[in-house]
Amino acid sequence: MVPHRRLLLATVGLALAATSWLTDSSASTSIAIPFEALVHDSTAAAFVTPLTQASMWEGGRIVTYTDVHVDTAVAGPPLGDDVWVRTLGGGVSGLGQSVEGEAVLTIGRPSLVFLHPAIVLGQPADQPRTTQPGTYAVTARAQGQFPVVLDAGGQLRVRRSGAVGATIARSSSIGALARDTLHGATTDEARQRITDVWVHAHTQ
Amino acid sequence: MLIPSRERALALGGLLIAGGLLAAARPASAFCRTTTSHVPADYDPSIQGCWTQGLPLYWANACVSYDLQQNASAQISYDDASEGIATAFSKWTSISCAGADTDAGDSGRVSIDVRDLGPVACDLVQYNQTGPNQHAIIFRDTGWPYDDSSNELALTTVTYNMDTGEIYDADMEINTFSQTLSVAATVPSGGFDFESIVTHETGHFLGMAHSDDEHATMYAHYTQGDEVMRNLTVDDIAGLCSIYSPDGTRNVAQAASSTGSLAEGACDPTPRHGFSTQCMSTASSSCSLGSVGGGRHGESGGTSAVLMGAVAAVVRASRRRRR
Repeated sequence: MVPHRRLLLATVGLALAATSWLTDSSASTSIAIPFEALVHDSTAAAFVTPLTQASMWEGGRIVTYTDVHVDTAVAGPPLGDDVWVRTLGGGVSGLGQSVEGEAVLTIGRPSLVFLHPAIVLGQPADQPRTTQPGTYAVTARAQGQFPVVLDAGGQLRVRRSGAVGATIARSSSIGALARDTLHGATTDEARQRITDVWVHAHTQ
Repeated sequence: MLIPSRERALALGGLLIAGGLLAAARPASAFCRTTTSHVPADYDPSIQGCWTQGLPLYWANACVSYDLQQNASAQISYDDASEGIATAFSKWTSISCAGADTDAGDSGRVSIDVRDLGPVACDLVQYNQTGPNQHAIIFRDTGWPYDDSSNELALTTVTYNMDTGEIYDADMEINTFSQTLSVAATVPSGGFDFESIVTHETGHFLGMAHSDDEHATMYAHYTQGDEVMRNLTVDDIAGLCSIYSPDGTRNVAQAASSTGSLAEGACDPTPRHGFSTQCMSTASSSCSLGSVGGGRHGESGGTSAVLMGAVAAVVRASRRRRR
């Protein structure tokens, strides 16, 4: 990570830590995803900082493409310096569209994200999925995004996203949830926890 | 657009935003309204209270409509779904608000009604800026058209005017491809309660966001099999009353009305630009890239890939210049 990025990360994190710290937060109507499933369903994990974004109509809905800088790749094949991440919702020409529970990538605010190739929207539901070359989506939407904040002790930590919509916990135990595994972890701990299960999750 | 000294500007921006949030921070207090500004990932509503940036969303007319997609689901018949959704909406629209001035003629009931315009053939989430629309409720039996089938139960997409907060369109998709939903009085093991999910999602449809009240239907967490979200709580009731007052006004941002209040429109449930049971044609649609000119819809994935190539080229050229 280059020095000015560290400074940016630290400053933004400190600023956010001033107002927000790790507690239970709200979560859409999604099923709470287990950590191993999040890893399994992702092709890459990385600490990223959104640089620029543009919204557009696609398949009858508004989507936003965000160019994110890969600060630190955590797992998966190399992503390069920057990648495009598509999220549902956004604003075009005075019209806005919101999709509860979608990842929210804000310019300049770093996050740990779990990524997979984005599918082409608007395909017939019963047809095999085609992916959009060079574009990723956040796995499990906001459940696969963990913003990076700086705690009072000067540690960079990841926390669950405040953009997660309603979540339903399964009544049967299916392993530790991603939010419980990563929420509050330092960035180093988060990286370690991901790499510890990555190979196993991808060889199942 | 990228600005010079971006990092410094962003750092300063972060501090300013944090300062603003700190100033605006208040104890968590239950119901919240959806606004035109998305809740950032690093915002914690349980500490900081409702996200109030942007303009609160509202339906302008006294009546809005929804339309169940005609195929319904192999899991839930059209009739069952229709009944369940009507029940969910009526829970919201039959709310009596505390403090209503019944002597002045207020019925005490929230000033929004919802009408079922009947089955539609369209099975796409879309908003047509120039032609007829439908507020579709669609079951996805044959595939979930997004990236995460195994983790999603339902998705409500709300389209609004960013300058006023007025809701123009809302569509709801329910994932019956990967998930088992139940309309039984007691939810069987492994199932998810359809009525709870739809009651929660119809709250979003009407402009409600998540509540901090763990007993509320609009609370963000619940457990598989729970039926508690079928029933609205005092907090849910207060939330909807705060938007659609019994006196027939909407509580809106000053950008929409200098008084912060707007009289309801007529009881016309017709979607914006008219109603159609059919999806709009995508063949003649084009797209818009984030700014002027009126975005249109229906762009194909192939077209968007080309567009993103163009965006990428512009961004990278900008960076090269900056470097």
